[in-house]
Amino acid sequence: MDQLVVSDLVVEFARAGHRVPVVRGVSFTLERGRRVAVVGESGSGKSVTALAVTRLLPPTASIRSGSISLDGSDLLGLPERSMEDIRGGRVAMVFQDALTALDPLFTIEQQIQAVLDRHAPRASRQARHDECLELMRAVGISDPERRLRAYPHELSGGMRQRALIATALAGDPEVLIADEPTTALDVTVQAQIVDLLRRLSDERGMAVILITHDLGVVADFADRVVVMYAGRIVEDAPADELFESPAHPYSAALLDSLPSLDGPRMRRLPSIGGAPPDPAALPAGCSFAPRCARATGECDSEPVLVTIGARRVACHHAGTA
Amino acid sequence: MSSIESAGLSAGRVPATLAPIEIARRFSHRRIALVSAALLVLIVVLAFSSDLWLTRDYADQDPLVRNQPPLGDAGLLGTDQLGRDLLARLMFGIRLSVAAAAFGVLVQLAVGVPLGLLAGYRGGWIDSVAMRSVDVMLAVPGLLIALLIGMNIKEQVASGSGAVADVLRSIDRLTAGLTPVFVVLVVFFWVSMARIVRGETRVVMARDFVRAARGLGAGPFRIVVHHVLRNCIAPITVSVALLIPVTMLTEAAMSLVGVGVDPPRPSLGVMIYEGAQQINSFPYQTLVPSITFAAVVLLVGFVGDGLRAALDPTTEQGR
Amino acid sequence: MDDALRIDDLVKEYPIGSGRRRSIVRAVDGVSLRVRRGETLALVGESGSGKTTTALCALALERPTSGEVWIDGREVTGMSPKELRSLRRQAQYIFQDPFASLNPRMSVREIVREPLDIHRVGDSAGRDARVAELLGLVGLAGDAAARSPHQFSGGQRQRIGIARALALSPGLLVCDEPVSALDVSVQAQVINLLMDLQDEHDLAYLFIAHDLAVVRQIAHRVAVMYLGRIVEEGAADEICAKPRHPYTVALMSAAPARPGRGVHRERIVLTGDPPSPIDPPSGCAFHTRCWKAADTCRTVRPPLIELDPGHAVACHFPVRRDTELG
Repeated sequence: MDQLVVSDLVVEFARAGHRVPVVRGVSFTLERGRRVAVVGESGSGKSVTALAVTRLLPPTASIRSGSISLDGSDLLGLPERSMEDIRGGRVAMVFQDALTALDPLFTIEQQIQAVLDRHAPRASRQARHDECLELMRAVGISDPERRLRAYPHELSGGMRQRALIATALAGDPEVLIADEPTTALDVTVQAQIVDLLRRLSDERGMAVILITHDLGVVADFADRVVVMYAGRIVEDAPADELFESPAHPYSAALLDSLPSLDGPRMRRLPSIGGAPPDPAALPAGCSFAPRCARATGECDSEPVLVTIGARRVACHHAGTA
Repeated sequence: MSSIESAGLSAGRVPATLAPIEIARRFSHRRIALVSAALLVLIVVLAFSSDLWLTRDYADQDPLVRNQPPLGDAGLLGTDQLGRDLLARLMFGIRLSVAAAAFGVLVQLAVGVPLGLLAGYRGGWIDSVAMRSVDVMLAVPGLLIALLIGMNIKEQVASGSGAVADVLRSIDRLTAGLTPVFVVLVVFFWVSMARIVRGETRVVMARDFVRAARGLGAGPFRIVVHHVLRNCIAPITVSVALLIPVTMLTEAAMSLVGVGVDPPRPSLGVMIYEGAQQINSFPYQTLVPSITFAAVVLLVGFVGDGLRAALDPTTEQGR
Repeated sequence: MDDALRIDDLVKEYPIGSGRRRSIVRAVDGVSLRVRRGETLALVGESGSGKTTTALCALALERPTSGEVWIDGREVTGMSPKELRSLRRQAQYIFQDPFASLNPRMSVREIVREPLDIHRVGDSAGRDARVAELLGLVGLAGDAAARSPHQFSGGQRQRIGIARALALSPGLLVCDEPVSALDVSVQAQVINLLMDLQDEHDLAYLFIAHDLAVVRQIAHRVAVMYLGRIVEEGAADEICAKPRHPYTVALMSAAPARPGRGVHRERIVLTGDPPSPIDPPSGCAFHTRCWKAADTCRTVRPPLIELDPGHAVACHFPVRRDTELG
């Protein structure tokens, strides 16, 4: 059953007196307890989409049109007060930089307690402390009694990211949005965090949206992968299908440009020419066409996202291979 | 905010810096700043060319036209209690203010900037000495010291003997009695600039492109001039603009209490003070210089604000 | 023939804190390596491994605490400033962050010309011609010269940095994570460019990275660093196919790579974070996270020993690929 439904979302930024569309008609659904990865490069609109869901967009951004609904209730129409109950409660977020996302002046326990106070205020002191310990254990922090009393700067990078996830879990969210949660971490620690998110999702039946630029991180994690480019979804497919046979040339190119550790070593890496476009100066027609090896005259018109089997693709050449 | 970064709306897309022509264009987009700059130029040109277009000298007394109101028969701005033309005095006063401001800027650029660069670049004991001196200068009561310095110099000029007094006397003749003001400017006006430039230098020195320049074999001179100084232009410009009104105020305040310009020469400060003696009967005599002073300070402020915005690449179009 | 770069027993210590709490951090702890002409040696490690410090010491941008650095057969440590200046013509640095490493107040022409100006190469017209040539070499259009760095994307800015580094025709380039700040789709372009340039100009690279998959593409040999020491070193193909140090195995396992291709790799997820160099573990520094750690590992530091020809490992219990992992 669809829990979160985003349809035709358009988000614009005010820039130099102009309105720059950063998200241009994005629709997707998230089923209860499933894991979706949203993959894209800088300027693809992936983070803005996530922020729009929690209505935490910066003041220069505005939602022009579209709707976002959680269990059938429209989030965009809610008064700010009710939105605050949803944020951190039913929908929680985890950010890239745990050092700035945690308040340096409070201990980890105080920060988790703050979320508990907001979303489950009636429990006793002891019960809430136990709850904190429970959360710390859930995110795999050893010696939780001591770590609860620590300030963010006293923890290592991986530990901080775990603590941040613990605060996100405190409201017992149904949906967790993780925005590049591993980017700032060392390679060997990245794998730990991805494993942790997957385990938490399984144990709690919690749906997760993982936002990342790194397809390699996604492989062991997501049920479905949404690939974004220049503010639009170009492909939305079950993870194994996408990795097996990407339908959009951009998804294929992204996969190809991942260096591989096994298989033959190539003298040249397959690469995509050019750079992602500036949202203020998008090419006409398909945004990817200027960098696409398969672009033809047809690509002067913008392709629509069409459903082919279990996936959706926005490419004139999809299915014609 | 990292998520906005990935929306492509910051970092690479917002220009990290601006070319001079771009700065001029952005500045010209700010109408208030542009008009202010034009007015300032006009005022300065008028003041320095006043001998050409005024019929009376600032010191000419005429007992027949004492205390005449503005817009009357006795000149555009009227006359004071000695029958001196207020317009001529105002123009001369503006010249002194401009001279003080120019000298203040000179001190900032010639003393403050090099000292800040040196302290920031070399670090170590030079930095410690320079910055402790800055702390001391910021801790002393400026106005009091300024008055003490002023009184001391005035006394030396008037009745001192010896080489120092002789030098001071000759300087005083050249500067129309502004020697104490200039000395105070030298003593105090390098301080904030040195601190600003020192801080900025430390920041720039830590950036990769300075390391890159060192890796290319660049020597200290090239690093300081091509890399550090070029990246300090914006804060230096802004600091200069912000301190101009303060230098003018310093001159006005010192002249007002008698340790500035010598009578009968007028400065804006002197005019405000003299006019204030008759504020009940002839308010225009203090209002005219007061309004002029306030207007000039305001105009400089607008220009400085415009420059700040034009030099700051993070404001859109310098608005 | 002389090596492009040789480092012998390099140690770099930094003081931290002040007064009574003052202590010493050993960021690099006895690193020796050599890069032959036209060869790429990749230095791989996570944060705190000392790989960037090693690179900075190699180009005399940091002063080593002890040890020797030789570039093109000349000893760098103890060079006079004048000798160092001439050394800069032989060895150049490419930075990780393409935004911080270009002076925002300079035009691209000034940036790429700067090394030529510093070393007074040719006349002004000749320098401008060289700038145009260099920009062409790294795949930028000729009109790029008149523009400011901020008008370019990250990948293009990294090309500008490469053009600047090539201006003096050095024999050695030290590349400090040159692609990790770039968009995924642009990383491959820059790696290909670096490989092409190596072929054309017989360049030697000391290539700093944290990503073994990237390293495998570009490097001939790999040295893996952990907490200031080299724990494994050997030919790139050899290390990627048969890693012997448990840390290398874990790094390989964690590297994001295209799934669904080739053999399924055993996933090893390490526990904990890399330890801090301020308070390094005793014995083998990796024992706190190693699944094979025994008592010996906690007390005795394993030396770097050549197990196979050209393949050295610092581990008491090196992994035997054939029996232990698929």
